[in-house]
Amino acid sequence: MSFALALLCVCSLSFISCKGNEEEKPAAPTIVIAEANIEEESELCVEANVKAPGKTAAVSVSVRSADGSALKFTEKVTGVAYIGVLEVPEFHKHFDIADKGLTEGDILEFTVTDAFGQTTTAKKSITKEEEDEHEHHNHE
Amino acid sequence: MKQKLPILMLLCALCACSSSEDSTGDNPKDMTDPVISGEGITANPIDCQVYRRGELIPFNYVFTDNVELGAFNIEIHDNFDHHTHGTTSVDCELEPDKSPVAPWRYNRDFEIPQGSKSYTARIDIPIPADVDAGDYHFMVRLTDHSGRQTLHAVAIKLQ
Repeated sequence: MSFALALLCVCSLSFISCKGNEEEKPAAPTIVIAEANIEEESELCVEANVKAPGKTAAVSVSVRSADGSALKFTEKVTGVAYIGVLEVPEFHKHFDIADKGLTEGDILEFTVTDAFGQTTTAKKSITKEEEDEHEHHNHE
Repeated sequence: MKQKLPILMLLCALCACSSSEDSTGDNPKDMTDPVISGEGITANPIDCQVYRRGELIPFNYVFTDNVELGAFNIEIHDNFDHHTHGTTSVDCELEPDKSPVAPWRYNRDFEIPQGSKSYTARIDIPIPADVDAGDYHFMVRLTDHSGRQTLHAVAIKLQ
């Protein structure tokens, strides 16, 4: 009788305890793209703020044609500043896009997957930096 | 033995499911960002310093964290368009804005010994002789073991 009672207690505790852990799944990553600019014809400047309460596990940047039909560019972002972190306060990277055929109006896709397998993709239309656009701007 | 079995099962179940850590194995209660400072040393580089191409930047900062440090990244990029960063607190005299021709781009990760709560980073970074002179940003991103990150941006100039 005592054995059966103990077994029941173990099962109950396991259920309650494990259920609690499942409820701790953090929110999915959030991405705010501040800038997606073609600079000097051969570079794509991307600035964003990333938050991932479940820690970043993978980050990638891709560019598709405006109608979404063609994938023109894709690159995984690695490094201790971007992977395994809760937040990237000022994501700022320049990507080499020489000979990729990127044009104004193409769509940047910024994708973050956290350690729980939750994926978020933010999109922004790419613009081109004009010569007279060399003015003060804040990366935040 | 029959009497001990339920106790053993109970202990196993508690061990399996009562962990307060998340699945990434880190401390979810760490709410404090790591700190980048010049405490007890002569910090370098600092805002508005001028360096010569072909020479070295003797990087020297102290990193601390309440639980455990993780790793850090140093990234250097041109500021020919006079942009700013959130942590920039000093206004340095800037050269006229210009388009980059051969800008210096530096990006490297560095490990910190496991278990460190404090670490003094001292690295000599060679400046290529053939890069554009002008205004640059020297960025330090310090991450702690729980994934919190601190960014420190310094404005320097290359001659």
